[in-house]
Amino acid sequence: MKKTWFILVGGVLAGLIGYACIYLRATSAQRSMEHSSRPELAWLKTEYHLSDAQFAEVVRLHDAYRPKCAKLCGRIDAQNTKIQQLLAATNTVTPEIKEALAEAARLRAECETAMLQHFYEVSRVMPEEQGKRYLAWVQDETLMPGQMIPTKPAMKMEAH
Amino acid sequence: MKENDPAAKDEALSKLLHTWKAEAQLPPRFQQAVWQRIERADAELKVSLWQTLRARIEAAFARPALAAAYVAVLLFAGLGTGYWCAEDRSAHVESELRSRYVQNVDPYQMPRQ
Repeated sequence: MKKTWFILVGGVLAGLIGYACIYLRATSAQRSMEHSSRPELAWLKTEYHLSDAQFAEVVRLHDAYRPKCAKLCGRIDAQNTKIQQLLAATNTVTPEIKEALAEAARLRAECETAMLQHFYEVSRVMPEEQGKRYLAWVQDETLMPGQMIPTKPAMKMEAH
Repeated sequence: MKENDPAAKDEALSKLLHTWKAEAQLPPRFQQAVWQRIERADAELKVSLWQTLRARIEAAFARPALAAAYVAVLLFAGLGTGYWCAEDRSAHVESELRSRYVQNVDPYQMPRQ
């Protein structure tokens, strides 16, 4: 009976050890990314096979771009609030609403230009093929038609 | 002919049963004793099932090939499940980090407080 128990428990233990070994080994890269100080940039490094020097340059560009991005974010919010107030105050398209919508469009163009400039700078730091892949992906995620409709950020924010 | 008629027989039997009265007294706590015997029988059946199962497992593991197969199956099940869970987790983490990067660079997708 002792032998039977030994085999029964041994089999279960073998299964558990097998599970733990594979799981820990296969998720080690993701765990190290998650525990880094900037997980999203660590992902970029892994995904686009960046060297340490290339990664340092990408981080520098990212840090330089972030304040501009935050400023644009503030302007977008202010403009959206203004449009909402104007829309709530009337039921016709007033010259103020026209002007506010035109300003929102100008702001969007400004944002897209700043983003695109940043993406080009980052892609130039990467190995050529990876840079192309990065550009294709990031443009698809941010600049493709239909991507920058006003409802999308709000929907994403709700999800968080 | 009447004796061969089943309906007539049933009627006769029915009448006879109606006239019959049980005079014997049941022993004290008869019902309780019956239930106890039923419970004992159930318990014996359970024990014997467990013993049968145990004997079968012991007999199976007495054959080295079967014991090794059992361990191997559990080991591979563990490896397979571990791989599947790891793939799932990796995909989830990468998708999360991709979204975070995009939210970091796109003012329109940046999370607001």
